Amino acid sequence: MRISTRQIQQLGIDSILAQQEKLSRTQQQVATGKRVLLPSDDPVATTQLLQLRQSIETTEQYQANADAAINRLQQEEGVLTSITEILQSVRVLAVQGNNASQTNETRGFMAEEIRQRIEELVGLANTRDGTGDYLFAGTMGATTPFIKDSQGKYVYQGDQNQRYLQVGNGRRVADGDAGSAVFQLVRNGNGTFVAAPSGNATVQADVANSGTALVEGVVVSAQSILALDGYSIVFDAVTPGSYEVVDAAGSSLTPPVTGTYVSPGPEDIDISIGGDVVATVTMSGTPEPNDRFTLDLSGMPRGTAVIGEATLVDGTFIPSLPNGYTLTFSRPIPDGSISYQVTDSTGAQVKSGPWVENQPIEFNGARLAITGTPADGDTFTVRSSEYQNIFQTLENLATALDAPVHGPADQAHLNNAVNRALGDIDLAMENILLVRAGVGSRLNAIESQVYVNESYLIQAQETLSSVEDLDYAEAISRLHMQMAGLEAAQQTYLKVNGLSIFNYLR
Amino acid sequence: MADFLSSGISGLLAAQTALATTGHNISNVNTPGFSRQRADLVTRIPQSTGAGFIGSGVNVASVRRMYDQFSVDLVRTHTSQHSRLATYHHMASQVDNLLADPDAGLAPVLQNFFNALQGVADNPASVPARQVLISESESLVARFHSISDRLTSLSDSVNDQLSSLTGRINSLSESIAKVNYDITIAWGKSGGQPPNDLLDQRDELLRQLAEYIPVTTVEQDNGAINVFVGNGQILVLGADARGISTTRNAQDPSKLEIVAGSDGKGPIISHFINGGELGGVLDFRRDVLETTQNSLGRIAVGLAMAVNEQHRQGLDTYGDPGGKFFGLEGLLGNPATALPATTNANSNDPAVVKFEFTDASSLTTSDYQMKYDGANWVLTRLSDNQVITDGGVDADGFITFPSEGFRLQLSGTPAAGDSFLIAPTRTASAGLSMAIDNANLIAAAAPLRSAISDQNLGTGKISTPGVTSDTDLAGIQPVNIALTYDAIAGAFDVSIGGASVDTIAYQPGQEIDLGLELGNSDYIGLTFTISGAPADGDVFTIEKNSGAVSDNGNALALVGLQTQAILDKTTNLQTGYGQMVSGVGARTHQLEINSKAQKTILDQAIQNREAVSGVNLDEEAANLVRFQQHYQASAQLIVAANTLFQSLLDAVRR
Repeated sequence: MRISTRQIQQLGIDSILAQQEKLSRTQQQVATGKRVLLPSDDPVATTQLLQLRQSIETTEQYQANADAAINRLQQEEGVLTSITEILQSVRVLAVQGNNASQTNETRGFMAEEIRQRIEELVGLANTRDGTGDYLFAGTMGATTPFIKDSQGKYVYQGDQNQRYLQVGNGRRVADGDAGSAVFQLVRNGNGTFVAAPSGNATVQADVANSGTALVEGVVVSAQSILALDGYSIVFDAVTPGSYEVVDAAGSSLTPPVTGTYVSPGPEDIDISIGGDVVATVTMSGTPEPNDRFTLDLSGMPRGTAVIGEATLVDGTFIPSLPNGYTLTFSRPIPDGSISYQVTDSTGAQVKSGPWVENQPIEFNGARLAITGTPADGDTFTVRSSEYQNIFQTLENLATALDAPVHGPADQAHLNNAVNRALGDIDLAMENILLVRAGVGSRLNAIESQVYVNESYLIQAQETLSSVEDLDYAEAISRLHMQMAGLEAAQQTYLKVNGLSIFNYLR
Repeated sequence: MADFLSSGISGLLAAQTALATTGHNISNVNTPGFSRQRADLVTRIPQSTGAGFIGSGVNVASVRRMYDQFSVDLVRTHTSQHSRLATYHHMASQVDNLLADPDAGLAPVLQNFFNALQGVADNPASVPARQVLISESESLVARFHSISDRLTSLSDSVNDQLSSLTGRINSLSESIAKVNYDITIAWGKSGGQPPNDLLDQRDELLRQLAEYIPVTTVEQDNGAINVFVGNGQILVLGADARGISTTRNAQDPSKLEIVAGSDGKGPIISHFINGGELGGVLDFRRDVLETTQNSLGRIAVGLAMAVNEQHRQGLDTYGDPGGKFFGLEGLLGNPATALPATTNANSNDPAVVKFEFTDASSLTTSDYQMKYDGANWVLTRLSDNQVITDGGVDADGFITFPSEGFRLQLSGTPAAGDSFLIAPTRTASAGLSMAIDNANLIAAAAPLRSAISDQNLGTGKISTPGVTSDTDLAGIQPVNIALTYDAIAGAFDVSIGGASVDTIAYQPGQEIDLGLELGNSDYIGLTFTISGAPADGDVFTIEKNSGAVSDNGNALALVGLQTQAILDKTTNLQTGYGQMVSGVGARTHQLEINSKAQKTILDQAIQNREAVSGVNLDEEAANLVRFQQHYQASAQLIVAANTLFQSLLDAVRR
């Protein structure tokens, strides 16, 4: 085939250009350290790289999320530990307070200490996390979770939500617990039912009263030294609001109890005997002179029966809604035999029989171990456990310890209250333990997820590197080969183009 | 002897011509398109004598160019194909380069956006975390804009190239017409001898033309050549250059089209041009540029629709339902007007077509044409010319196209032949904007919360309710739903604001889907689960999630969009972008290979042509020596004739 001179030159130049192009690409690869410079170099690898980078960055974000979750959960764990310690110390106080060797005064100190503990506990419940959010407000991080309402009771302001953080593909873990779950929604009693003495004093307005005053409530804190036949509050015939508390016979107490009621109330009228406040009547409205209110104590439990253990038989308790069961003791003949009967919410009898000391009473799945001796007409209620917040539990204990003890019935009343409080505290501690266990298992889950993420990251980085990064050894040897190729092309060009017959035509 | 002399002279003349031709060849060794020439020598008519025919010397019959029409045609065809692929590859590389940089593409900003969302989910009450989300979203929007801007500038450069190529093609056509004229004149004058250099010149002009546009030629009896382009449209007719020109696309005025004739009124031939730089530029515009713009736009629409839809399901820091997160100017929420063709009837009440997105996951990357044929409107998907059947008219009076993800609203009085271009996603990435700038307006919280009453005696628990209706939450405030368990009926009584509205039978752990009328004909769809054993009278409440500044329910749902198949039911945003990049990469890669292959084929064709027509200097040197000797020998003949004649004269003088 004929070859034209121009073609010989063109072919030489073309081959040099082709070699230079290859060399330049290799040079660029070596300079950047990357195998794939343009999507068109390797479209499949490009897609793979985009996906790998995305999943690496997403996983790194998961690790950051996990760090945040771990921080919060660890903080929560610390707070829960402190809470458990407080509850334990309160429990010790409760056991001590239950002891008959304590005096009204020492119990008062205990109540005071428990109230301090409540404050401490509220402080912990209102802990903020590192970013200023309340730890136990659910997802209402800017809302103080526990505040005192107008009744002086702690109420929960947050919500019942948990916040979940994404710590892995399709793996979400709650980074805390709502205050409701930790402090608020705790069952009282034994978790299933509560057995408590019932019955209280009542106050009747005299039929002849002309004022509008009403009795809001009555609380008897020590009954042993109260006269069984009751007391009356008599408003003065002359001075409006001025009153005196007299006994059933109409005589003044020793020392006399007098005071002034400020309309329209509500006002507390304290009845104290021998310096101790033993009953408090809360009144509202406006009394007229000579109005009279009678305190009736006949419904008060009088015996020394104390509910020791309230347990489940066979694990199933049949609740009676809405008011629970009523256990009534009767002893028609003084010092005679004692019998009991249990009625349900509708008044139907569930069980009855003679009462034998130290022998528990069982009905519909509940077993009550009762010590002491009940009096005729003493009643106890057995109702389904309700939610009771931890602060209320401790407040109940403090109130019980505050009440003065003046006799066996008061002691029984105290023991019943403290026993209940102990049960409630145990349930509260159990609840905290449960929450802590949840926190611990979440921390474990996150840590194992962090480990999974880390090993994924290592593997993905390796894959990324193998797809994206240049094999330097291969690239350098390629570079040398291409340089040699270019040199050869250049030399060939010069040599071949030097050949011409014209060189010989002289 | 006179014969002898004249024979010598003829040899001398022939050698001169041959030497001149060789000299011409040597001089033109580097002239593009030059075909080597050869002096064809023939013997003169011999003298007839009794002794037979006596040769009387040599004549130059013709100076011929060494030329093979087939090789020349082949070079022309392959030149067109190669320059199409080379141009196409060159332009596709620009998009390839644009998408190559991992820091300049969409992938990192999209990732940062979702990471910032996770940051908000980690700490919804943190204003800095929310601020980061706002600024990352702004970066994302800016990146959409910058990529879109660069694609738009490529689109402008396509128009520029079409104009300048048209100019070059027209000037080449004029040159060809001029040479055609010269050739017919020269042919006439020379009495049939070919005007070799003019023919070479014309072949070279045609080859240059073929670089820009594929041509077909028909040779006339007078030596002129007629040149046709496209679907047989005349470019050059003899000495008359008709040329081509550009005109604005009737559907989309931002696009230039190629028309036959220089007055811009001829038929559009863009779609017939399948070679040359013109073909490469047009192919690039259709298959890479518009596809990339549409793909990018589809990602923008998918992002905006999905994020907005989810964002409206949440509550912001103020406890108000989230508004739009992204704006999509003229496209989202506010029906966009489809482009009417410039050829539409000019009436007082012109037809107007508006379109609105309905479903990002059904959107394609195609453009559409809505055309009125005098009785019916017909929607055609332009990527495959498929006629799309509609899904009926919806409550808002729009014609729905569920398979394509948008709906159309028609108004005005159409005339037969009116048509509209609908390019749903073409400009979406440029139209993307931020709709919120206040970090507190990010709706990170779930809209509703549930709670169990602390009076409950049972163990029933309720999950966080999800909202299934896409009703604007603003309309359904306040939500105050209570479910009270009735143990005898084994069912929940559902009440809103204390008024009983419904009863649901209870099965533990069963998912409850609840649709409720909330007054004012507002409707809310809820889904939640109640598990455990509720006691009689237990109450579960569902209410607006007010004050939940630390709630991340909706932020988590927004994070979930990262892996959700938002585009075409199997593709999420990031894989959508990956597909777009690898699509451009694969095409560029394929073009590089094809263009190299075509270069080899073209080189082969050039070699074939050169083998016939190319000048080889060694060959010419040999010819030089040969014709020099021819000349010298012929001169010697004259010397010999002179000597002989002198001998004769000497003999006579004596």
